[in-house]
Parts: sequence; structure tokens; C-alpha cells
Amino acid sequence: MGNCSIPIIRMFHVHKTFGAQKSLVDISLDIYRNEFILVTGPSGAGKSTLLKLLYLAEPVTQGQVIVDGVNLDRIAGKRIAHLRRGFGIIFQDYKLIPTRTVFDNVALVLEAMGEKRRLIEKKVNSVLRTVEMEHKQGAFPLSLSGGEQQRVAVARAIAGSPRIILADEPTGSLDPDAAGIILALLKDIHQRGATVILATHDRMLIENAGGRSIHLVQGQLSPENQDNVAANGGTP
Amino acid sequence: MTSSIRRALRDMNENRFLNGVALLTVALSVLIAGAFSLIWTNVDHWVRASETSIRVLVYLKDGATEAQSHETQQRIREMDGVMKVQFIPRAQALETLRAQLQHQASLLEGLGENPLPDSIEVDLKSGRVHQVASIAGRIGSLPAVDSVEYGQQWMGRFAGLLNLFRFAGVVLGGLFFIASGLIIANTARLVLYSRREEVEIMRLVGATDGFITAPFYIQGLILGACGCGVGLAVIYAAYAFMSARLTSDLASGFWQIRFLSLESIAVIACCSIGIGWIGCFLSMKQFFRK
Repeated sequence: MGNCSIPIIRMFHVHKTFGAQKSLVDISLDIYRNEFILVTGPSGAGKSTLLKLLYLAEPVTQGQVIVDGVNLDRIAGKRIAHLRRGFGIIFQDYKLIPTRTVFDNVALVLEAMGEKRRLIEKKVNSVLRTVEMEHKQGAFPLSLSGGEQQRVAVARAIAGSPRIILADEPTGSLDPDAAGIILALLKDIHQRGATVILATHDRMLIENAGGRSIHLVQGQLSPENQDNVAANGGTP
Repeated sequence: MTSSIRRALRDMNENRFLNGVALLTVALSVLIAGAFSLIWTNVDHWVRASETSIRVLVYLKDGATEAQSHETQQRIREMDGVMKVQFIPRAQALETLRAQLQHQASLLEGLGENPLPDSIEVDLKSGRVHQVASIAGRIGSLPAVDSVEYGQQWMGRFAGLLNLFRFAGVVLGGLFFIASGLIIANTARLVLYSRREEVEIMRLVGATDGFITAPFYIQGLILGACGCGVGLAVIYAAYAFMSARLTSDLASGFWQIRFLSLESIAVIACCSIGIGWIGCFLSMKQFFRK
């Protein structure tokens, strides 16, 4: 583990509702640098919603979220894009662009960051080598298996060297062997210094991942996670 | 920027039909605006060339005194648009006629008295074709003036028609440019909607709206520029064809067609490229507001 004394993510009494439905209720927690966090719980517990609040796909209804010192309540426009570049996001449904090759899908992150073409080629080749997909760089996503697509998604997530990896049910659509490969990749990324937050209800993943577990039940932290409450008493 | 241009060209290639329709519409707009401009330029040039010889002939009343003649000349000189006034005494007019008749001058021998009146030749300043009728009217109302003649009575009406023609060209060209802008906007919107998911993914990986929209703006500019190029090329081809035909038909070179001036081409190109940009701007604004 790296420097665990500095919270990279802090949540203070966060609530999220969709209409009348409460998705998250009074969540307060700290996540430290270079932690490997498992966000667990049954379907509908609020795991994906919690991740979405972090990368601003959804706004917080009440409470505050601070990522790397930035209060998400106070950013808008371009700053949202810059914040997202600090995350590597992996989705259950991969979210690869079907009309772009594997290379282009991974390169997209670096293009968005304004990197030079030569550096993009070097980095994309490097991350594709890491996920062992270098030989498929000219292929289109739909010609790949689910496991291969998710490996490309992992490559895309780490291409921009983000500090935080958010993985939302990354093995949800994969067979156990492919899921094992993805978990190994995530552990490797963690070993290289990234904070990994993995939302899953996959038992295999929970048993083999290690790291700290945050268990959600009906949008609330389970009692054993209450010690995750922000050290300052829950106020920003 | 290179990446945006590459993405714009790739998008255009993937949506060839939509972009082709948009390009043709821009080309059609340029063709209409350009054709009107070309016709107007040439007719206007011809009218201006004709204007240099606009002359009004003023015949004085029989019995008009020298003082009245002087006063009439003076009042004509003071009129706006008048360049030159020359008094032609009736005797000089007869001599001129005699010289013009040459061998038939003997016809004039039988005349007892000079039948020609004193007259005044009035040359107008160039660019006053639309004032000919009003100047002639004012001269005609002077007390010593018997009648007024000018060979270009039709020119005033023609100048009015020319202005109407120019107005129609501007309106029609403008309408077509607006239609082009809407079609480009629609093209961009259709492509954007077909790529909603892609746009969403781009946003999630940290792409700014500027990065996402840049290729669309570049496409708009390319459509505007290419449409302009195609439209102007067609006009030039038509011009070259007509010019060759007229030159062979009228060997004297009396009528020489001119192509659009650089200023006109620049204005049309700016409108065309500008409309491409505006079309995209409208689409992007609407899409990203949602």
C-alpha cells in the first residue's frame, strides 16, 4: 500500500434520490490514496450510483463529495472534463465505440487530453501490451469476445495514467476466466500506485480481490462500515 | 487540431450521402448568388459604359431672346448632375446639318429661312442615368425651352429594373444561403444524434465539449468551402462557354462578358463558409443544451 494517510476521496452525508426513490442515504466515507476498495452489495444497493457521483455522471442531491481536494459541488463545464481525466472508468458494458478500432478507442482518451500523435502511439501500444491486446489493435470491438473488450476498456482506463480507477461491475458480463484476467489487471494497476474502486457483487471477485470492502444495503453503508465515516465528524 | 481535422474527414467519409446533400445545397446557393452577381456585374458595367455618352438636347422656343438663352444655359449649368452645357445657334446647327448631308446638301438650298431652332447640348455626369428623366423634366419647365430630347429615355427605367434585379438576387441568394445553413445544421444534428453514445463515452473519458464539437465545425467549414468551390466552378464554366460564344458571334468585341470581381468572389466565399459554420453552431448549441 502507498500513502494511506491522505484521503483522495471524501464523502460527507451524501444523499442521492431519483424522484421519490432514495438511491443513497447519508453516505460519509473516506477513501485513501492507493487503496483497493471493493464497493459491494446486492443489485440496487447504490454501488453504481456511488461511482457515478464521483465522476459526475450524476449530481449529488445533498451532501458533499471532495475528490483530490476538489469539491464536486463547485465545478462545472471544462473543469468536469479535466476532473474526469483523473479517473479511469471501466463499465460493465465496456462502452467502447463500435465504429472505432481498438487502437482508436484507447487513443481517444489521450487525444482528448491533447497529447501529441507520437506519444499517443507509444502509450497506446504500451497499455495494449499490458492488457495483452497489442495484436488486436486494428480490430473493431464487436469482433472481440467480452473478455477482450473489457481488456481494451481497461487499457483505455489506464492510458491517461489516472490516479483513480473506477470499475463498475467490470466482470459482470464475463466468464470466470476472463473475470480473473480483469481482476489481475486491476491488482496490477493498483500495485503501480493507483487508487482502485471496484463496484461488484461478484463473489469470486470479492473473495480474491483483497483490499477494504464498503458494503451498501438499500443505499446505506452497512453498520460494519460506519467506521469509514470521515474522521472530522462528517463535515467538510 | 490535426486530430480534429482527421476526425472531421473520417466523419464526412462515413456520412457521404448527408454531407453530399449539404455540399450540393451550398453549391446551389453559391450558383444562384453567383449567377445573379455575374449578370448584374455585366449589365451594370454595360449601363455605366453607356452612361458616359448621356446627352440631353434642349430646343429653345422660336423668338427666344439672347438674354433668355443665356439665362436658360445658366440655370441648366446650376442643375445637379450636369457636366457640360453648350449653346448651338440655329445657324451653326444648319451648317452642321449641311456638312452631315454632304452630297445631299443641295436639298437645303430651297429653304428660304433656317427652319432649325437654337439649341443647347447638355452632357450629364457619369452615373446619373437614373436622373436623366428628372433633369430633362426640370429643363423642359424652363420658360424659354420648347422641347427636350434624350436618346436614353429607357435607361432610367432600365436602371430601376437593374436595381430590382440586384435586390431579387440578394433576396434569393440569401434565402438559399439560409436553407443551406439549415441543411448543414440538420446534417450535423443527424450525425450527432446517431453518435449520442459515442459523444457520451467521449465525455466520460474527459473530452471537453470543444474537443467533441471541433470536427463538426471543421466539417461545416469544409462543406461551406467545397460548396463555394463547386458553385463558382460551375459559374466559371458557364461564363467561359458564354464568353466564347459571344466573342465568336460578335467579332467586333462590342460585348465582352466579365467574370465576377475578386470582391464578389470574396463575399460569396465568406457567406458560404460562414453559413457552414453557423449551421454547425446552431446544431451544437441545441445538442449540448440538452
